[in-house]
Amino acid sequence: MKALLTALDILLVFLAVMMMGVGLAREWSFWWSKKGSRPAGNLAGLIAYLLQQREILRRPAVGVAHICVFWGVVLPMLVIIAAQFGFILPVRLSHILHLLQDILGLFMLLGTLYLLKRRLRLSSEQGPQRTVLLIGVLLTILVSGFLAEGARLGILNPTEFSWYSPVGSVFAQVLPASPLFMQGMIRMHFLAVCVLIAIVPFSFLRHAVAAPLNVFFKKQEPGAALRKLSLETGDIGAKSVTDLSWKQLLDAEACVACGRCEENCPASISGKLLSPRKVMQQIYFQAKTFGVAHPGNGGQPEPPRLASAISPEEFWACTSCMACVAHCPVYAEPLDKIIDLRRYQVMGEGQLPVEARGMIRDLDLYGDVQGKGAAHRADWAMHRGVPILESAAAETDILLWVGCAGSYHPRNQQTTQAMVKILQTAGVRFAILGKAERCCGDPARRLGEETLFQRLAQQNIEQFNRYAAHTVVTLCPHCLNTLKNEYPALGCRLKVVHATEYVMGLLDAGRLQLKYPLAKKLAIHDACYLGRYNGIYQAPRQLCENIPGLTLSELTRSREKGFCCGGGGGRMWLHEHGGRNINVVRAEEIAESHVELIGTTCPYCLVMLDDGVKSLELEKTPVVSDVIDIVANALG
Amino acid sequence: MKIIVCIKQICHTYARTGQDTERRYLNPEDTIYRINPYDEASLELALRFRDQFEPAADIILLTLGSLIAESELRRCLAAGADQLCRIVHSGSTTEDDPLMQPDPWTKADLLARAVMELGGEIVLCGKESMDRGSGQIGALLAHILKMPYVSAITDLSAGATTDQLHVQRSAGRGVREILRCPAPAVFSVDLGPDLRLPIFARRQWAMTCTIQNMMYPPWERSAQGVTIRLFPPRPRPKIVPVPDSRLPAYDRIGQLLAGSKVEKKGDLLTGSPESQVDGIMNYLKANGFIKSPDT
Repeated sequence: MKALLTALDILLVFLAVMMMGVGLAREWSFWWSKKGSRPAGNLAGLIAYLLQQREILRRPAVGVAHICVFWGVVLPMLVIIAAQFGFILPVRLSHILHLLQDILGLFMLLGTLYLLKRRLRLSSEQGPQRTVLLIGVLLTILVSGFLAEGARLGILNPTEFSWYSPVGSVFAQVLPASPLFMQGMIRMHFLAVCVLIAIVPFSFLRHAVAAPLNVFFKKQEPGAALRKLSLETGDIGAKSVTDLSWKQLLDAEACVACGRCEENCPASISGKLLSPRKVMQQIYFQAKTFGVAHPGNGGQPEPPRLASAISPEEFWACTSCMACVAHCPVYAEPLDKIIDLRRYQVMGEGQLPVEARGMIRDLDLYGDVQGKGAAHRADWAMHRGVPILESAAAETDILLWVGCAGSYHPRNQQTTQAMVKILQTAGVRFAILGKAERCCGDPARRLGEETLFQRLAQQNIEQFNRYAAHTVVTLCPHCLNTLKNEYPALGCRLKVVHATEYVMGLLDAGRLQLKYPLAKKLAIHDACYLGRYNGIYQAPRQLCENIPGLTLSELTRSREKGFCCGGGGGRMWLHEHGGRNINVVRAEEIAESHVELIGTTCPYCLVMLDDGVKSLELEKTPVVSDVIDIVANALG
Repeated sequence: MKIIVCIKQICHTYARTGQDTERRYLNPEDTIYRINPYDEASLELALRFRDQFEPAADIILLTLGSLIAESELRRCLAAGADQLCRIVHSGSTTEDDPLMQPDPWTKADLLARAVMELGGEIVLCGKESMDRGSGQIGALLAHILKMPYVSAITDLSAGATTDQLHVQRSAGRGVREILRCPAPAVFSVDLGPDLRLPIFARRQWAMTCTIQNMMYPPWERSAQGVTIRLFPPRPRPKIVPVPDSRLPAYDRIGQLLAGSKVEKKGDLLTGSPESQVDGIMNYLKANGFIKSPDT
């Protein structure tokens, strides 16, 4: 092998590797020097990811083609590296390996052709850029490789069919037995490989470096939590790309613009301008064009504001449902960048959509989103024998966190009262904070008002610190996510459980009996903050399965693929501009499955879907009900 | 140009959930401390005037008495004001209690002294305050300062020349009028656009900004009209409960007038029809209305 390489060839390889190295180093420096702590990195996770390619296989055809191309690139590379160590294989084994290589080459050819066809058919401005060049180079490598093999066999064994080199043998029949031709093909093959190596940082193939890095450095903590802003240091969100952390920039680099996020984004689907793909691509574009160093260093001009490339109308349309994060094959997260854009918009420029200002002001003054005040927070509990933690701390095992919706909204108050009925029937020693409870702060945080969030959180944390750590049971997944995943960053670790999980536990322990039947057909609408954020899908379904007479049907878009109700991310208080209302889109989808009952696990979903189905004005309107309500009705 | 905005810190009672007549049926969480929203509206008007007509203007906030709503005052400062001045007068008592506030004459006199010391060209204040609602400060200020006064304005803009101001106000029943008024002048402001959101950098500045104290001795002349009694509202029941017929009339009337909360006795049966029927049967059996076969 080594004897075939001339000095020129070695020089070319060296140049190619240099080009690749320099290019990658430039890309690397783009984010490697930025702020943020570097996590340890999960090598086992990366290897599992590369071997299984599960996320990419979610689009089956593309996934298979990608596997073919992936192994077609990786295995020969490994073989070339191994071949440098110069060892002799037994003839039989080398023939088998040759055959496998041919088969792999064939599959890779088919895969590459499929991807080319797909790329030429789907032309989207937002789609992956600079792919055709890359596919051309790959095809050149493949075709020239097969042709060279064919020519070689044509010269050596013109009549015999070599079983271990089927493709070559076929070509050997038609090609001229010309050493010049063979040499030409080998040269072309070699040059094409050098070109491939050299263009890694400059073409679509950069994802082969960036994506595994992104997978390697994937956030390991369970649960999705927005990062806490250390406001004192002036960190108020993302004005321009210089304010993003290295991981956020790596995300942007690893994005392959496949569009799965956009396909599953409720705002996108319902016709809004928001496209998570565009967010990632714009960040990458700005970072490459303007650099990411702060303007102070080296007198560079300040990069333009991100909000000029990603308009406020777009990032206010996000419902923070996390579908983009769940569907991304390279684990990029558009969500936290959208929230950082919002944070700067609110705290750096004072621009909050007008509809939400009243709610934020109410949160500021009264500590709840409805503006009714702490004095009325426990009105729902009057004369229902609900102990208040302040006086009952000694005999309490469970703290029932009610949340703003459950405390003040008439429809959600019924759910809270149903939960109390369940707890009392099961003989659970629980208590509520009552008037001492404040909003968990989720709407403020999602809308970008971090100062308000931290203040509300501190007020609540003071209450938690006063009493011994009880298990917190909450009815609202937003409160669940905030208390469980976001309060620890503020110094308060709590054991938080959702009401459906807790009630399922009571049922399993035999403390509850679901006696009264309900002969209806029910579908569970998975709440984004319960499902994708916290991985709780089974508990509501198990609860419903235990109710006699209830038939469960599964919606098409459920579990991780569930469609948002449109209320999250502070959008409950915002108007929808353009397209259709997200809750109506979801309500229509559910109504099409002809269920009589829609089971929800979140007060936002309850209100949004209820409005949605009612606005459809169907003959048989499905009834939207919280799973806790259904369970309480069936209680014996 | 100096624009002086008079803002009042109020103790806003939004609920009366207490049972104690001594404390006028108030619980601690029934009140919040905030800035009078009419005064916030006047600050927003001043900010808009400055944005549009006089970018170099100084907006000075003027408040009176002890700092019961300091964070809110600083928030107003962060929204765009340049300075916060506080008048301290030696006759001050607890500000929580509207009964114990000085009367409008005294307040207007103190404010006027501060305005004259600061030299304001436009003086804005709220139309009335949410806690006492006397609505006199603007007029009294204008009288003492001998400046023209327009009440309840909703818009402020510059006129043809630098010392002419145009104000818009509602003249009742949908009629709007625009008046031309020479500066310096006093205006009281009606509710309008909400006060803008302060940006974070200004919030940080406002947190540490020093409040300028202005000390004045109390006014010699006492008020002519003095509050002699104050009747707090009776807590209104949300839903009037059915009085218990077994109680005497006096107690039944007491029940009707009791608290702002609903007195709900007994069990409310919820759930499916089967569970409700079971609940009714259990109640009837438990209270001896029906004898169960096995007794």
